[in-house]
Amino acid sequence: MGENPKRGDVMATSVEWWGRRRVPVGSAGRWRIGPLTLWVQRIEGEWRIAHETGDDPLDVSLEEELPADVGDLLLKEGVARFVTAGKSEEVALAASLADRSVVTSSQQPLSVPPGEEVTVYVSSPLWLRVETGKPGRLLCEIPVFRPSDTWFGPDTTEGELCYASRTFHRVRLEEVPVRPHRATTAVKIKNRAKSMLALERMQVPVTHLALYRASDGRLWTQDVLFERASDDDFVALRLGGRGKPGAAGAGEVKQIAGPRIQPSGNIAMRAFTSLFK
Amino acid sequence: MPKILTAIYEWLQTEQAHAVVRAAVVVLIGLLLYLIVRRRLLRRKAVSPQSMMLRKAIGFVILAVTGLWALHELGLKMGVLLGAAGILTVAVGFASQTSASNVISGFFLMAERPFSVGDLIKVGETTGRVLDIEFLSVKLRTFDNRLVRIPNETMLKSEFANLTRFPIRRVDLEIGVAYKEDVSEVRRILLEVADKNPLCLDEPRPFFFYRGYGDSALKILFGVWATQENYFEVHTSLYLGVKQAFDRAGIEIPFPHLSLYAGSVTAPMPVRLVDTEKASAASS
Repeated sequence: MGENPKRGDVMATSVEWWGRRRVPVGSAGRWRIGPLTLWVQRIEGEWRIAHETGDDPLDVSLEEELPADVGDLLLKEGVARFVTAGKSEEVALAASLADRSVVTSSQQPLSVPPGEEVTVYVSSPLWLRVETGKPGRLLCEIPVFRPSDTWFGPDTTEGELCYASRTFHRVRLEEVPVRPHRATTAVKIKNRAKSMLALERMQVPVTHLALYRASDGRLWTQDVLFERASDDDFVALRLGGRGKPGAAGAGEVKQIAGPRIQPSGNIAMRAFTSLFK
Repeated sequence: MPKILTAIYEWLQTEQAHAVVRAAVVVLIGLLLYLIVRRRLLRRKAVSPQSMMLRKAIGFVILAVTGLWALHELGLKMGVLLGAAGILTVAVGFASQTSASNVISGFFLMAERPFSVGDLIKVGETTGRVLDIEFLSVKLRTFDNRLVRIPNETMLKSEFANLTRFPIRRVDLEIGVAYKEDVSEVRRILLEVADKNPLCLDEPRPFFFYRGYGDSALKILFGVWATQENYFEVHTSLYLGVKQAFDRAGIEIPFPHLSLYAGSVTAPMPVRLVDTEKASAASS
């Protein structure tokens, strides 16, 4: 963690926006991470946190203002207050993946013929964790941009609640933009079944994945391997090795968050469904 | 020794006192057993109708056996008691046909399992959360915090809807727009409103249904899917969002129109423009 940037600094997209910051009693900080603006105020015995989310999910702004003149945060709508008996003046901003699986959907389905395999790159939104003290105690967790809910299952009576992410299911990494508040996942699909796989909707189990940062600033998750053996929507899920994401295209990486749920052994899951008719 | 203590001591030596003590012990053991079984069953937190009924049936059987055993220890002849109970059962049976019907209906409901405690159900005009499922009735708590008791027989006979059986539900909006509006533009705006609301499910896709020509408006049904927990929030936020989006786009949500037509034979009705008269009077 480097020194606190100066007031009103605009950071390059490759800069780490997470890490520990010092917010002395009586002062406040403001951060802009993509569409999310976050205010943190430290007063005697209390932390106050407020946030606002803009309309543009593609916004790549990165700003830090520390100290920031925020006035009385209590006047902001939705401000959260946390009491603290400790004297800690450090707040830690941490990045993590979504708290549910993300379902990617493409308007132009990608077809994977029997016997073929492909690596598609998809991106998913990040969550911001605000922690304080040592060891870090979680104060709140905020999505940088709240994705829409979506239903993933064969019908409306059976399935799982996930987040929706519209994507193009790109197969060339250079076409996937680098955004500071989204993580890229390399999903390798092996179609061992006898039928064609039309990749319309795909469930990426991000809660099982670790998060990394590559030297070019791109955020990566662990790789995912889906092996489809039968003609239904179920696959065997295997996760890539720790520390080598991006199907080896990420180069040197550093882990910045572990998985929310530790995966246990091989998992069979429903990974693909068509759109509801 | 005082006389009263002597009398008590002498009474305790009698067979009658022994019977009372035995009956008291039986009652204590029975109550203890009832409390233990009840606590064990409550710990399971099962809320299906079967488990609710089973809990109550087990408790009832333990208390009944305890009572009968205690009476037996007190010297009551069980044969006489059961004979009397038989006659009483016939009498009570005639008098409680409705209750018996409710109990039997309760067993059918248990077998069918159409809802559990905590489900939101709608019976006739009543909508509420299931609080309790008993031998005779189902108890609901309505949204305005009233307790509604519905006899099991009614539940079995009437049509009811379990609103929370499935994890997601469609929120239906009845919308009317003026005849002059472009329906495809209205459709685009509605889909955009749903798309911007993160609580509206992206999939299943929102449902746009053109219901036809109404008296005063083009009638549209717009259905958006949401989780059970978010149903009411989505309902309200969508109506607000649609109104704001229509206002921004200048799309009219018309009031009911009433055209007066006096027929071709009747002479046209005279119309007087009040504001124009006032304006001309003021200028002259």
